[in-house]
Amino acid sequence: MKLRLVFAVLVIAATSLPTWAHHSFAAEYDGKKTVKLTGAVTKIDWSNPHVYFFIDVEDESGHVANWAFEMGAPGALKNTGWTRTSMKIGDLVTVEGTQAKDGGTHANARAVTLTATGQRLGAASSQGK
Amino acid sequence: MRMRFRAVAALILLSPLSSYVLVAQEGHPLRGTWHGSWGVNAAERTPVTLVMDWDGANITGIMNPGARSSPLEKTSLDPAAMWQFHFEANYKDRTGGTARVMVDAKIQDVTSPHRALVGTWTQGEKKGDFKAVRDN
Amino acid sequence: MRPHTFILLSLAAATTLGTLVFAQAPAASTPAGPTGTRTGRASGVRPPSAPTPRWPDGHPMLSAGPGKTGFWNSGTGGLTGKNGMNLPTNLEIGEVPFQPWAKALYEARRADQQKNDPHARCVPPGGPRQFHTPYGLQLYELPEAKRVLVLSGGGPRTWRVIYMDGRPHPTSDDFIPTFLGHSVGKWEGETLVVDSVGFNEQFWFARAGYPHTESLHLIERISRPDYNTLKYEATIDDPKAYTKSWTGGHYIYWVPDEDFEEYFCQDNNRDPSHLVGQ
Repeated sequence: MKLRLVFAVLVIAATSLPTWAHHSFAAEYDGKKTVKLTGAVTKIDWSNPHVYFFIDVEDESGHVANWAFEMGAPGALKNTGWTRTSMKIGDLVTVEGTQAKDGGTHANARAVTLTATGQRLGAASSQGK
Repeated sequence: MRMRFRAVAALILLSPLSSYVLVAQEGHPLRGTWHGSWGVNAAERTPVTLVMDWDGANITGIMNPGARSSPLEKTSLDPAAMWQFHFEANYKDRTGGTARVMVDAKIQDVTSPHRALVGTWTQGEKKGDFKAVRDN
Repeated sequence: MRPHTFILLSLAAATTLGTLVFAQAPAASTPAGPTGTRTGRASGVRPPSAPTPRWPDGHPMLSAGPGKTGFWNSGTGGLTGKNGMNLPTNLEIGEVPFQPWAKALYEARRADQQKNDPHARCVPPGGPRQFHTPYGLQLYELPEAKRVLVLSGGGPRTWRVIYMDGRPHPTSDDFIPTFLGHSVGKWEGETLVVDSVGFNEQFWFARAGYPHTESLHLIERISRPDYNTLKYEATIDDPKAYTKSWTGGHYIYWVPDEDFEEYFCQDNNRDPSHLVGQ
């Protein structure tokens, strides 16, 4: 019983720590500036050190902005339920994330909801849980 | 075993725009995602997104990924003629209307990761200029 | 002594001396050529070549023999043309079976002096490129791990793994194409035969800029005819870029008694913004 408790504590501690990235999250993203955007996927870079995907977000006037979203590395995403074919070019998705400090259409993704299925996947963000 | 990998890879690559990575910048010059616009003048522009692939014999792709996307048709590329590229598609506007699109463009700066398609865009009765730059 | 007699005697002496020097040259079965240095520049006549070093079971050793040091001078050579270090069996560039788009792209890269070669931005040297990236190469076979490691002295501190344990190439949908691909190898007599797939399209597989696609299937044949000589041959099988497979390669010479220094391409790389081409 004691061993199980110790193990449980260790697991909780490990999963609540931020995923170590090769750079500081706070140096690049503002944790207080949240975004939630819906758009069509135009590109997916399934590569290290971060998976990046891009969506076209169209406003009411027809203006299109292309947003870049950073997720965790492919290995980390696999552990949160992603496969390389979870998201395809042309899919409509809603992304929740935090905006880059240097402005522009770039953010760190925390979760992605696939419109077609309603499935919401964590983005293995370097911000942690 | 080697054949299984190649068969799987071929299946992925031949699927029209699967989620397979199109980061490629040193492969076929048209592979990838391109953003730009067309218009009859500098002020009136309509955004355009193209996502294209090369299956070994044909250029495949879609225009404007999302709810109003349409496949590229009648694609052709003449590398010897300064990379003259042609495609046709059906443009879908926000009100549900459609118009036939025909594009003739050349690839500028073909060796660069930031290469561009520059040419003319004919949509219904209108004809204007078109430019799109390959994403990186 | 009369002047013309002096000249004749001098010529005779020079000829005799030259004959003695060239008697030290390596065996006729390996091509003559200069000894390379770390910088890739010639430094004179090659030393006499010792036999190929071998493992206890007799198969060739690709690294320095026991108690010795050295590295492969990887700075020169290519896959087409027959001059210099290149194989006499190489195709000339006009014989390469390019698809039209690949031929036009190769010519465009040549026309702008390869200014957009991603290698200049410290991208890893996949495939044959690693074998002619300057600043040296080491091939270490690790029998206990059933792998061969190919280490680069130049570029972005690259090491490539060749699996020698009989494993197949991956078939999973999750396999990500990479700069160095997935390599499996086996010895066929005196030749290490390496089969690789799974390359991405973010690099040039040779300095000359022949295009490739993710369909590239590379077969390399590596042998060591004598201590000082590595023979490298690559077969390019990429139906999306070439109408049929083609083969080319070059020799690489050993630099004895030296080793790599630390080199990171990314260290002080100021060139990219200055590469203007023509």
